[in-house]
Amino acid sequence: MRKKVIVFLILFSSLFVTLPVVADIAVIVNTNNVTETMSVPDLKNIYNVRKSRFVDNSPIILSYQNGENEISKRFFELVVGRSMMQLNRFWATKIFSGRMLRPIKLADDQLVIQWISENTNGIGYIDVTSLTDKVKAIALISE
Amino acid sequence: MMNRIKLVNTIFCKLRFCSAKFLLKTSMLFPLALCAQGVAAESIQISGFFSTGVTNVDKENIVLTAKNIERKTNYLADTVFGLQLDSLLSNEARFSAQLVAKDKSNSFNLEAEWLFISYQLSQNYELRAGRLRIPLFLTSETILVGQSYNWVRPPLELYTLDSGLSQYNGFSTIHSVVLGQASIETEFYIGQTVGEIDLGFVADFSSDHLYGVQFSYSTDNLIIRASRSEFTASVEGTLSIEDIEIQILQVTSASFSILGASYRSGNWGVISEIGRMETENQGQTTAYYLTISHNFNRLMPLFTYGANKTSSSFASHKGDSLSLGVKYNFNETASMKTEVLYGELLDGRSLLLGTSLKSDFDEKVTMYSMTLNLIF
Repeated sequence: MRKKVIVFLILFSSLFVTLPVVADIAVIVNTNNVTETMSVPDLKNIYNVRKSRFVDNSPIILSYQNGENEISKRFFELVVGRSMMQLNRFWATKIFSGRMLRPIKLADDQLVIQWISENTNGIGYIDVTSLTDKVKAIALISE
Repeated sequence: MMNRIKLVNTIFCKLRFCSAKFLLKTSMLFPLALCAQGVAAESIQISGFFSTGVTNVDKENIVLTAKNIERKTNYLADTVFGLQLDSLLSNEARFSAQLVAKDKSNSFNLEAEWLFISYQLSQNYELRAGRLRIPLFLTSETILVGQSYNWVRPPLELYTLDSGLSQYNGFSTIHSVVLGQASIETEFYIGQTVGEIDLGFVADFSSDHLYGVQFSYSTDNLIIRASRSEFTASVEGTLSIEDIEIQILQVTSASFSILGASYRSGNWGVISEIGRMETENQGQTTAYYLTISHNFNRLMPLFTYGANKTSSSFASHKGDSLSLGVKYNFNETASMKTEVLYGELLDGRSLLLGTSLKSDFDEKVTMYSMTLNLIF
């Protein structure tokens, strides 16, 4: 009887515990990139085109995933501070004024990993559970 | 004398830059040569933009400066196609070309809006050389890319102030620094420009001494830009009137001073600029506008008021306009825009309605415009 009460209490208390329903976001670069870590404000500056260079002065080429992807929605909300529509219009002013290279749109985590592993200047974001040793994580973001 | 006054007033209209074929060949061959030297294929990017539309004006004999809207219904004035090519030459060097076809007297010639090589000297310093855009107004660099702004076309009172003087061949240095979540950019430039202008007759335009500076401060919601540009220009051509040919040669110096700001708060947006053009012995023109917009998901209505005033020793003119527009975003890369503009002229003529030799128009005008815009 006592055992049943304990199990019931554990199950009941679990109703009030907030469990992570979505995984963390990993920001990744090429394994040859000299960058080891990056803060959220730095990432915000990069995706808002205020910073366009890595620490070794090499150019940054942004990648992003489809705006409908859950990972994109969370990244834009937590890091960028603009919606996909706003960000694309903003990027257009930067691209067509010669201020930035066009960001690369990729469909999912696997394609981001593949593209980053082939581009030393690339930066992107994926679900942390997709992380492999083909790329280097420089930031982990969670709510 | 009147002809001369009109000529001087139109000196800064419709510049036509030369050597399109040469620039096209150069821009296409340069990146290919770099490919051969081992630059990765993914470091070459091609982007583009396209806008087209129709404009209807309720008066005849009106010429909207720099837009060639001189028919009652015009399908070409806002039609423009552009291709942009960016190529990383190394971690520090980059090549960029923007080739644009737009209406010029019913012909679409591909011309290089810009064509430059940039070199990143450090994290903060960039050097550019080649054909470059003059960074005068808030949207100077993207004025041909309709998808990048909300108006059908940027307010003509201010954006005709430079009368098409949008490019130069020369150098610029850009210093940028990030302070927290803000960036500060200072750009100095110097160069020259050569081309032709259409004053009802073709005249050569050249400026050997053009220089300026722009300073901008930007955060997520706020952009402030101040700019100043000065140049000396000469215009030379032959005006034919009833078998009489008049040789025109005019040398003058001019300066532009522009201050603009754009602010976004939630779904509301405000953008405003004020500018002044001063020409040697020809007086000055002051122009400004204010635009307020509100975003309803994909739909954005916007209201704009613009005005200008010209004062010289010969005459003074002023005018203003009100416009109501709506931009509808189909998706991230395509939109449709409509606009109704009501313009009124005071004391004669207005830069809004042009400074052409055709000046026998009414004092009030209503203009309806619709454009489709996309980027790729």
